[in-house]
Amino acid sequence: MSEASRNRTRLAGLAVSALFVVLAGKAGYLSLAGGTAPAHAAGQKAERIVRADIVDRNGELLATSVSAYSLVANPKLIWDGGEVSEALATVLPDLDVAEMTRRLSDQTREFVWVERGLTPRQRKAVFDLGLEGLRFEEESRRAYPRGTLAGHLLGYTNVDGLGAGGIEYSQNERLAAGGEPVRLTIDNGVQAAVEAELSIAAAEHEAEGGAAILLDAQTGEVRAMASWPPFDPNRSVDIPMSDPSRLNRATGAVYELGSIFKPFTVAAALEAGVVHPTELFDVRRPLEIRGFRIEDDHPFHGDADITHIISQSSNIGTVRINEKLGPRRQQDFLIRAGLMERVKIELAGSSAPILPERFDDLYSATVSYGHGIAVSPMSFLAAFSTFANGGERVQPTLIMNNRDRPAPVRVMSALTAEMVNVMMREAVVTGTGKNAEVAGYRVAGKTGTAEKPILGGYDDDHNVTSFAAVFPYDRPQYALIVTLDDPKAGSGAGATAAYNAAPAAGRMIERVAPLLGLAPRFEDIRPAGAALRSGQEKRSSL
Amino acid sequence: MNREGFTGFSRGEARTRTATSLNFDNQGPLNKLMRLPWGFILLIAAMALTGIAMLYSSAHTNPAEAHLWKLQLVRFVVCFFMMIGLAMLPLSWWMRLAFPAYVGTIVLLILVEVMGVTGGGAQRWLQIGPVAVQPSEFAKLAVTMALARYYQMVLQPQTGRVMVHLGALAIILLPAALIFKQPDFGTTLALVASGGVVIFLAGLSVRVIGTGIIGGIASVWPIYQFVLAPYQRERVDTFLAQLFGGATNALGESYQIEQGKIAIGAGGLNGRGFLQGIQSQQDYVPEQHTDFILTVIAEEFGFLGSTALLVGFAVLLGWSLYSAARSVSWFGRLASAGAVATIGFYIVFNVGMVLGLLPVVGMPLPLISYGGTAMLTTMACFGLIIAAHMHRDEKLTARGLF
Repeated sequence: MSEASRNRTRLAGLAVSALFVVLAGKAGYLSLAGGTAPAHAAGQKAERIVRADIVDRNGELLATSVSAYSLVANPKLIWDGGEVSEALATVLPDLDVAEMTRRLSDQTREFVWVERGLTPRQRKAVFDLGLEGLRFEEESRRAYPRGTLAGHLLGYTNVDGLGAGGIEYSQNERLAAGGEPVRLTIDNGVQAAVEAELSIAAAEHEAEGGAAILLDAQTGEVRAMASWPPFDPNRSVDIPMSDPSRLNRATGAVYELGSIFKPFTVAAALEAGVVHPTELFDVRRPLEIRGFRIEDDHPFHGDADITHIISQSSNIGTVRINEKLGPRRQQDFLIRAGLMERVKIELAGSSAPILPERFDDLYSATVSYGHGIAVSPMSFLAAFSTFANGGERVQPTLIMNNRDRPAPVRVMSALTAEMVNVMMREAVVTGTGKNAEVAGYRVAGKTGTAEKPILGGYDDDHNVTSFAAVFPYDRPQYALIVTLDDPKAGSGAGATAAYNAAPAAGRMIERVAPLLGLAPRFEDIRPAGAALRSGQEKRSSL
Repeated sequence: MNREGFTGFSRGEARTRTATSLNFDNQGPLNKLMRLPWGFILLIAAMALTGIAMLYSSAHTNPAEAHLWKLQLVRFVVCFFMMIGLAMLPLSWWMRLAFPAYVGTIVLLILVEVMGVTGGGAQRWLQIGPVAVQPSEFAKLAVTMALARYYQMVLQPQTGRVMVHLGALAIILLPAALIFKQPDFGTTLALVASGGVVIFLAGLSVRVIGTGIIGGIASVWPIYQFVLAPYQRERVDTFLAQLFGGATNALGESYQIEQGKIAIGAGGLNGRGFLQGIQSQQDYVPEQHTDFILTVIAEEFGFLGSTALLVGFAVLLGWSLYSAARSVSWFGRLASAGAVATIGFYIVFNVGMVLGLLPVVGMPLPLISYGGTAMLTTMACFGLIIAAHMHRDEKLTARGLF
């Protein structure tokens, strides 16, 4: 063979050798230079802002962010959308194959969400399928490690990771910026106790719904806020929008709360100086205002003083007091107490009250005992807490160290507040609130049973029952409200607040007072009627 | 000065007169089996078994792939015996088979076009009974053989005419066009490249080669702009970006390359040890048991391991080229060199791709990667090389072959 041809073979050999040297050189560079770890990718990961956590007042976790993966497809790179969809369905059983096939076959699109919120395990399974045109985007998903605890309060985030309810919504900007967790004023232990007792009461009395709020009256800090039925924000996507558990009844619902308004009427009258604390009122005969009859459940024999009107919850007596007060001063008082507007708190769902169209003599009379005006339990408690704060109203808050609040408003004098507390203490010791008494914690409170409004009047079979309390009455610090929507009458007991809301409030105070650091103190003289609450007695059977 | 000049014979002729006449009586099959280049064959077997071990390492953590190494071992054993059989085939048989094999491959390629199975976005597979075959793989060997056969036919009285090479070009371009249409850019490129090597060795004038290179460079931009599909273009873009250190989407298009590079970097000089590679065991690198198997070797055996692998390939290719150069017949020399070029381009493309020197084109690493058709083609190529080696002293004539 020719020498030229042999030379060409040698040349080819040299060329192959040269290529191998290049390959070996590059392999050596990659191996020994420690690899080209993609610095920019690592940088992106570090820069990605993780939504801040939400913790309780003691720093215990309530909401946090965990990594999740979203599966994204580029239909332009997918040849057979059906094949890809069916393969994906083996890993993601919930996938609608027909719909996904249609979307992945749309060659005009370059970006299709396949599934969001994949776990690392699911991600690996999809990866193992080795399908074309798919990629993952890392994002963070919100997790609520305590399930339903404070679920309404916390709210939830939508698929884009933006707050869509509760604190998640109202504090969205701050949470989205990452960094320090948002500290709430609630206390997990207290919250859990209040939620548990609310659940027990609601189940025992077959209520439609319920709410309970515990407020530190001096700081305005909400220590617990519960709504029943409970809501688990982890399942926010699965629960239909119309589901009753979505409503936060503590702030988002308005009720005609009934007789728990009577202390306001009395306080306004005392404050205005139109009545004397020991003054007697004739409460024997029902009143009639423009054809509308106002009567009491249990008729009184003889005249009654104000304490008696409160403790026995006399509608007639309250209207008598209110007549002396007059609609204008009554209205002024309600405005000062903040009951004529929606309560300002860090929840967007805080509902505005439903007010009477005109404040004439009839509406003035019904409002005096809590009918014809519908407010949210939170709104009511913000006003009611003035009794526990020397007559000053502090704007309630859910965020620790919230300096963004207006100065407290004086609603009544400290003396008036003290007088009304004594009257409400009497209601617990001898009156309608007996079932709320807790040995050692000196509860003062007022029951309220309102008939539920129906079209053109009131339904006397369905009630909203409430118990509003301040404790300890002689050195008050906390205010509590328990509201039950449509509780049923139990065996040997009525469906009024005395038999459901009051004992529920008592059990709550019994459980949370030690957690709040209140020391029990026993009064020397115990009125004969006030039974001492023992652990077993009156305990729910649930 | 030619050493054989004063003997009056070319080196091959002299050998024919001595060695062949001496061993003329001992041409029985057993004797032929003994005379096979066993060192070369053992090196092939050693590398293939290394590949199977790496396959086990890359796939054993994944239940769906854990059995693949057994399958590959069976394939290798079958292909190994096939290679021995092919190696003992007289070169004249190879020559006789060349054109029928070429025509058969063209028919298969057309069948793929008509009734092929689509996989991974391209129509490359043909389902024949229970097995799926990739005719484009066979095309590499068939084209090499057909080219060698062609030159054996036309170059008998040595000609320097350029026109002769046009026929060779046609032999390459017909299957190349069919494969490009599938689309399989990598295989097309490898086919044209190894065919080009054969034409080069057949003595195409340097001037024409120079013109061809210039023309090739000039056509890069039009091909990129008008011929490539968008996904192919994207791969080239990604490749260029990472080659020049630009920003690439490490989680998107260049994910595979980046993960592969991390694996190679993690191996360092000595590697992490067999079954110890983090990237490999955790399945970070897509297609790690097929095209990206080198990353497993690099991570678990380090730079030394991957260099040893390359040295092994270099020895195989070097010996093959050396043997091809000593073949007296045009067919033996060109077929052998073409087979070397086919395997060589496999290696260069695959390693270059894994290291990020070349775009991701989907080329297996011969003997190492998982895959049946590639294994078959590679072993057949080695069979051809050994056959050419065994019959390097035979002067084949075109006459009497048909």
